[in-house]
Amino acid sequence: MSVLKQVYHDHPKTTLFTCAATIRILAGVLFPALPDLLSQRAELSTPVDGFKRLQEGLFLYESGLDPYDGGIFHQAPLLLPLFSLLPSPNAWLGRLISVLLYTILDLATADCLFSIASFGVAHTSGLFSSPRKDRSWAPISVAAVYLLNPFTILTCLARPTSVFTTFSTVLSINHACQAKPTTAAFALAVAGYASLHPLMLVPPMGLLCYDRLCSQTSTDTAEAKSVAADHGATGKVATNLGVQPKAIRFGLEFVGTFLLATVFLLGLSRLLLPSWKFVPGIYMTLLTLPDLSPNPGLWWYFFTEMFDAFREFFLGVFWLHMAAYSIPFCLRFKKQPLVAVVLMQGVICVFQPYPTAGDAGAWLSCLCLLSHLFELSSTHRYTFPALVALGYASLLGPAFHHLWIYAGSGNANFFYAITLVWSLALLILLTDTVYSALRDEWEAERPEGKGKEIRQI
Amino acid sequence: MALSTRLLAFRNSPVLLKLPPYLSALCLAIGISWLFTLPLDAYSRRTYVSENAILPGQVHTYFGGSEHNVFRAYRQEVYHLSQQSESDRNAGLARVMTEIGLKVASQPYDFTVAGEGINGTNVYGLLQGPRADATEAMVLMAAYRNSNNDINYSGIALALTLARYFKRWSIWSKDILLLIPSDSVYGPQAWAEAYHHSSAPDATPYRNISRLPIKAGALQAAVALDYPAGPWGQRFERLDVQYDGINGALPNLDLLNTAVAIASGQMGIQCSLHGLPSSHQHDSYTDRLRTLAEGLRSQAAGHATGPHSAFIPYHVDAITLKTVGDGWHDEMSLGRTTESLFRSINNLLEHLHQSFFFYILLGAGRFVSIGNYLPAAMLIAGSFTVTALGLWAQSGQAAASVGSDAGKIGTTSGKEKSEGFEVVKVGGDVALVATSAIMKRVERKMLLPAVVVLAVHLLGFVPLYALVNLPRPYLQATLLTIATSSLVLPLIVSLIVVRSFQVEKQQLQLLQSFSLLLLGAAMSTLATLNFSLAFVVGVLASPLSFIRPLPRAGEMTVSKKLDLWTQRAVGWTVLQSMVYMGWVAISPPAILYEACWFLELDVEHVLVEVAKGWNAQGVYTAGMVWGVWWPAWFLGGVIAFSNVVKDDVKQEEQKAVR
Repeated sequence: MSVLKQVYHDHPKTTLFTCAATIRILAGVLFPALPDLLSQRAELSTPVDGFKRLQEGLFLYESGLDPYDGGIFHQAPLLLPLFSLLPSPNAWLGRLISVLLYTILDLATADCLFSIASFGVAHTSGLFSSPRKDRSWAPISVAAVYLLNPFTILTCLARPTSVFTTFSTVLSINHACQAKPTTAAFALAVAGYASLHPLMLVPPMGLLCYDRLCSQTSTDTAEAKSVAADHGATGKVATNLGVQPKAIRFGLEFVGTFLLATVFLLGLSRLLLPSWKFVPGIYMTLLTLPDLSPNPGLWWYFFTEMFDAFREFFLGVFWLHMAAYSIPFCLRFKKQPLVAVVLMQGVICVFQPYPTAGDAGAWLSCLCLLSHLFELSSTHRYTFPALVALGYASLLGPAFHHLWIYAGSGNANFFYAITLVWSLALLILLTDTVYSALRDEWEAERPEGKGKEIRQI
Repeated sequence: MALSTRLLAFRNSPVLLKLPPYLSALCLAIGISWLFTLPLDAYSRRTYVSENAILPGQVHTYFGGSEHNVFRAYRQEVYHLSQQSESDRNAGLARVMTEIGLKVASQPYDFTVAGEGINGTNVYGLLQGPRADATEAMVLMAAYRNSNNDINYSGIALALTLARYFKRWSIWSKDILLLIPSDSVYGPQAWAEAYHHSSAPDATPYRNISRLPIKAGALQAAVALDYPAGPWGQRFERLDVQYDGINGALPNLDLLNTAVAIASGQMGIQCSLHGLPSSHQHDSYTDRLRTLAEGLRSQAAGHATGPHSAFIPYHVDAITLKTVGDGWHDEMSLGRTTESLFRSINNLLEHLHQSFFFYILLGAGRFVSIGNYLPAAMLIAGSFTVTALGLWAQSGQAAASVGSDAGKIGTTSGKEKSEGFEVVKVGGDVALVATSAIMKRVERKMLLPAVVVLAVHLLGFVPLYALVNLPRPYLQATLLTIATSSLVLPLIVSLIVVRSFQVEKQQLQLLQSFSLLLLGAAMSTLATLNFSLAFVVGVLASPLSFIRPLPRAGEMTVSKKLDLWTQRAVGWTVLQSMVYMGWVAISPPAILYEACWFLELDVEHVLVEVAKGWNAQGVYTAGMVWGVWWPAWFLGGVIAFSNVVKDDVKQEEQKAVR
């Protein structure tokens, strides 16, 4: 027992990563029918990221035809040459190798989360320092929440391609925390190229990157401060604002890099494919929602019962609603840019056209980056009931899907009702995080407010 | 103040923290008594046919006259075939069907469960409706051996006669499949499974089912006949309608209502359920309650009760008409009933969907719909969740400070409000803040409880795997092993958890909270799929929400008298052993033994049936019992005896250190 504890203390990352990889690979080996069973589940795979559809597109691609011709395949073209290198997943070896690839992606994402947590960006930014700094979780816990999350494990076995988007997004956050705008923009461009919605993360990501860049230039002044303190000086050290990068210029550079990267990726895709059909094939599918297969999202049910005349209007409203959160989060959480990024991720995870349970699992793990706020949300808000509701929804969802599709004794309303409960639980967690972040900021100015209930005057 | 803030302020009141056990008990009491109110007229309804297309009993049935002679001939033929070997019998049946003019095929199947083989051959024929479009089909079944293992002479003969009779009509809009399986459970299972697979179902070590050479369209309904009267015939008193499917799934109520309306309305044959007397004369509260209880028992077990059961999971509504008793109805009435029933099914333009899929029958003419009975199971599942939430809230409270209430573990000390002021520094500013304003919340250490709950639930797969895979001779010994190890294993785990990991009171509360949460969520989900199983398991597991760590000798705070009594070693041992006995009595293996003793069933037979259900039929009752209920009971034991196994010496040392 003590030996295990010793190993864990000395090499926490290795232990965790080995454990997580073992679980995934063992599950793939001991239950050979499980990965294919999971890729068919509506909660884990959608028409725009399903593994079966990827295999379809791959077959067409390898036959020399345009995969986007049939209206089945809506995934990023650059995945095709990657997966054509791997053996066919119909055999046990190919299946195992595909699970292995997704395990590696999961480990890489967890590694990025680990380094983001270890930067301490959540509680300390250029303009704000949280009074709850010491309450934040150890980076290994954040990585553990991602790797050992049942949603993540099931997603790894189901192998939807949205995992690539998740990885690129988290990589982008990681590079933004390291104040590398070029790589952050490029990673975000990869994510946006694969699924359209990371486009809305550009403002918060830019804000985060800019904030870290400013912090970096001002650490020089912090060093000067500490040097001065060593020498016994107690005076204040001035920050040279002229040295700090200019916001507008940075913004233009960031967006410019993002656009250039997108153009580069689109051009590269065109080189692989016989035509430009992939552009409407991917992006128009997300914008116009032609496929209404059930998923844990809110869109499909609305659009099954909508008259054609109103379709474009509602599509516009739904997309506009999702995009509308981006700038306000940046404005309000100027002092805590990572909070803005995570909250925007949450909005996307609930309101995107084709969400999966894996997206929710990844977002819950990113939420643990803001672990210093958990004390506030569990004291003053409804974290536990929301998590319990999430647990109930994850059990009742598959049950009602079975009753609807296989037993024939339920109908779509049962399943959609549970989807609503699922989204409600996620949104309660989101709004509780907003409350906690704002209260944290407020308590930094007014420490006497600690522990008091908020009331409206 | 806003309503939400006022409500949130209640969180801190000590009254609310004491409430959950009483609320839980109330939910449980209401849930159980709810079931007893269902047989009343106010909460049940008379059955009615919802689908307009059915027109039950409106058609004149011409089955009779010389068909009776044909029936008698077929009955003698079946009797002669039953004297021959199985292959000759199947060949004989196929020959009869070919003479009728059906397209005949046979399907061998082979199940291997508990070290025993179950094999047979399904012989079936296809009657194509001359003016039908071959997209839909109905099934007429007569198993060679019924559920009581009697040979179904008259049933098969009637099915053959009816097929011959139906062949001469051109009114059929759907094809008719005549199926004669070797037995009532596994034959139809193999046939239904193979019908709904594009090629043969994958062969596993437990089952080998061949593909079907001949298939028709989508099955709309299936009717099975069970009439084991011998070659010289026997009149029957009434018809018993069997409707339970695998895992408690039920056919659309319309099919049952149609059959009952035709039999009792058009033909004058009384209908009954579950072998109980017909509700025509016996419609009192006790009779209805008995029917309800029989239905609950049969659906909770989830096993096949007749040839119809295998079809219901495939969304094919199916019933079995079984003749019961000694009366004056004969085979021609049953034949006319079946003809009328098939004419009604023939009328359907859509799959049966108008009437209820979820119901409890109180008699052939009375039912309870899901809106009226589901709250019973949901309240019981809710009682677990209420306790779990209460325990979660309690675990967040500050622990009793060392020295003041040390040793009194039975009490909830509530929040510690220390008086005085605290110094708060921000930057260069200093402020004095009253600490009574700061709520003391304790951080919850959730990792150990979560890991223990997960580990114990995964452990539940061991007894499950053992009981469904081992051969018959070992099953009783396996159950005995599981029962005896269940007596000690929770105590050992409790010992490890308490001593090696130095678990705190808060973590034990979290352990129980997570366990009950999982149980409550599983029961709620199960209630939507199989109400009966959820209700039965919920009631049997309900004492688990009232388990708390047993206090040590002399630490009882319920009453001073009890405390004085338990301070003596004898009193304390008696109390401990009473609790232990009670806990053992509600364990799943113990309840299995108790049920077998009470219902006078053979334990080995029950275990083999459970294994067969799991492997061959896809019944998940065993999974629920060993994967959800047994681990929850196990964790209840871990909690109950967690105080008892605590090491006195170490506790003193720890106190001294602090």
